[in-house]
Amino acid sequence: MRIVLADDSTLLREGVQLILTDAGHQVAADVGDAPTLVEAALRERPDLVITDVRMPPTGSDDGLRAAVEIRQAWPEARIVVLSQYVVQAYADQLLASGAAGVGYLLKDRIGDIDEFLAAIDQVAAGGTVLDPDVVSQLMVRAKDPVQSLTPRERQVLELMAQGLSNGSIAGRLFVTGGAVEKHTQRIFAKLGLSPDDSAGHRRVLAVLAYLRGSD
Amino acid sequence: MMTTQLPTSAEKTLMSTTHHTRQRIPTPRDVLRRLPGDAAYLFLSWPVALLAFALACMFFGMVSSVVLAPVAVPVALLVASWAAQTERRLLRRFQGVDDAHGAYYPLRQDDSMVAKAWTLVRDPQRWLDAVWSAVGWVISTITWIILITLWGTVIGLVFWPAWGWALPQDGSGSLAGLIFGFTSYGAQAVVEVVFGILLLMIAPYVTVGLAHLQSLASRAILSSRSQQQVIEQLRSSRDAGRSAETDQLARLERDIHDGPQQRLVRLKVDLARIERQLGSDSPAAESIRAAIVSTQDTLEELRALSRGIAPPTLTELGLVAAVRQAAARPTVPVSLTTNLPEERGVLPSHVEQAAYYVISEALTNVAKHSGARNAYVELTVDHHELVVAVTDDGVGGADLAKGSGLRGLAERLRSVDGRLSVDSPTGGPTTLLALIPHGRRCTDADRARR
Repeated sequence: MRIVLADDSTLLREGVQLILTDAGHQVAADVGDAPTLVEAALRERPDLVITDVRMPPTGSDDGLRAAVEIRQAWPEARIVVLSQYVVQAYADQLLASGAAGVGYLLKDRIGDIDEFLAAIDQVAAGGTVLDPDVVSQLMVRAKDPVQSLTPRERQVLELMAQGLSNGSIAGRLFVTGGAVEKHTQRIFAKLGLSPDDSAGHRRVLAVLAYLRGSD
Repeated sequence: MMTTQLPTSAEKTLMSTTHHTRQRIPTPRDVLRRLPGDAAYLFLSWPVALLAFALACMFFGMVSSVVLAPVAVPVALLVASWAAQTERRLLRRFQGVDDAHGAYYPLRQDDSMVAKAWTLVRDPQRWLDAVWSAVGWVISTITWIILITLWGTVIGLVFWPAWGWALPQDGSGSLAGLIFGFTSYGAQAVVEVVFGILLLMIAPYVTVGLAHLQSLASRAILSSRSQQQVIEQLRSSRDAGRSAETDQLARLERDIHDGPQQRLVRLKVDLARIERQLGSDSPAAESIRAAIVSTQDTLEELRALSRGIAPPTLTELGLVAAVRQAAARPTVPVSLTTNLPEERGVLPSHVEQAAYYVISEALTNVAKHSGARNAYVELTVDHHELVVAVTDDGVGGADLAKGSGLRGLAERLRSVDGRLSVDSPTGGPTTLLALIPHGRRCTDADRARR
């Protein structure tokens, strides 16, 4: 697919570009600051935008604000935001711009090439991907019903919140799809969520909304 | 903190001043040591005060004449500050008061006479000097009279045997005669000398006490402004130091982020690519994987390190978001209540940094030592202070005197004029309370928000 890539570090941009081209993707534009990113994304209309959070001009959360700006001008944009730190507020801002086709990942995850490539595929397909660290932070703050889950159910819930489908969860936990199906049913029952949101970003949203409700 | 807490010379001066005013009770040896200086001070101070008072009266007296006033007032002020400077010199020379300085507006050489006169007239220090030339004259007249009478009497009594013969010998010329009715020369002489020696033992204390009183009054009027200036200088240099420190830490954090962190991520990416290209059955794959793991560990250590230096969340999102972040890290569930708005730069950065530091250290302690199931963070800002309270339902027994971690916190807070108290009975709960003055006035908008 065609990708617009933004990071102010040339070193890192090259690294990501190599991974993407190795995997057969095409980098339509690589840019080093937020205004150029907005302009390039709206011009190229790529299948996916990957951006760093901390970028010029101000060197704070410019990349994130650029992402939100792109989504305002072009709501169907698929965007993965990379960050050196997990910042809950960043994830919240990004999800507020619509949860379909967004991802928020810690920069180090680029090094887990297969997972990184799977994650960007998922976002490009309209899914939602959250970094495991974001999710585990949410789990820490979660209310009592989450404490009533079995350890395996908690694992499944964490993976659901990260945006994984039942199939991927089954693969990650080395169990059958049917087993995951059963776990998700029980989790939804325990948390009082409606079970018909069985797949896709709606399920992620429901889980996230539940976890964030503890604020 | 990177700034050192060593006192500057100005601070030392201040400390010595406060030390000076809060003296311990002097021993007889102290009194004897001080006696010559104090006596000289009292003795010399009065003629200066007298002259100053007379001249100042003369010139201020001319003020009633409209024509003379523009000249008389500045001249009177000059006379007053000449006398004040002389008194300050006496204070420094005989009283060891090294901060006795005036804080005058500078008189520029190339200014016109009128401009100079105007500078004199609007200088508060000169008017304080004028006040002193009235008040100081009254005080030093009293102390001088007491001083002269006292020592005159002492000398007269001690040497009575040498001159008493010149008095009428009917007992009316001596204390012995007046009080006891003694008329014999020998008896009178003995009693007079005994009285003289008794008075001689008291006189040094009286002298030192008088000098102390007079120098207190003089300093209060003559050097309060320069002390105020020193304090202001200290305050502004401390503020500059703080903001320089905050800036420096933020720059350091940024350098770590832009340099080593990016390079390590790139290194990890490159290693991962090599691993893929080699294929998992290659004999080298195992060592590459180990290298990837150690790169990741280094990254995490570096990240923890820069969080300790200047947490990026704090500078980018503000205190509340940063605390939320810190609260999500430990394994103990933390709930946060605050009346602070969720934006950055609500409070001065050194206050926010100190508060963040306290909270993240406290939460680390809760996770490590308390065995708590819940922790509560409360952040409240009022007109003067930011109040930080961290409570947990753990085993308690934390003590400021014991833990070096808590002592470090207390020191960190002292550097921003804050205070720390720990309430942690055995069996819990533990409450850690930090008060940090923010020196920022609440705006109406802030109040409306609450």
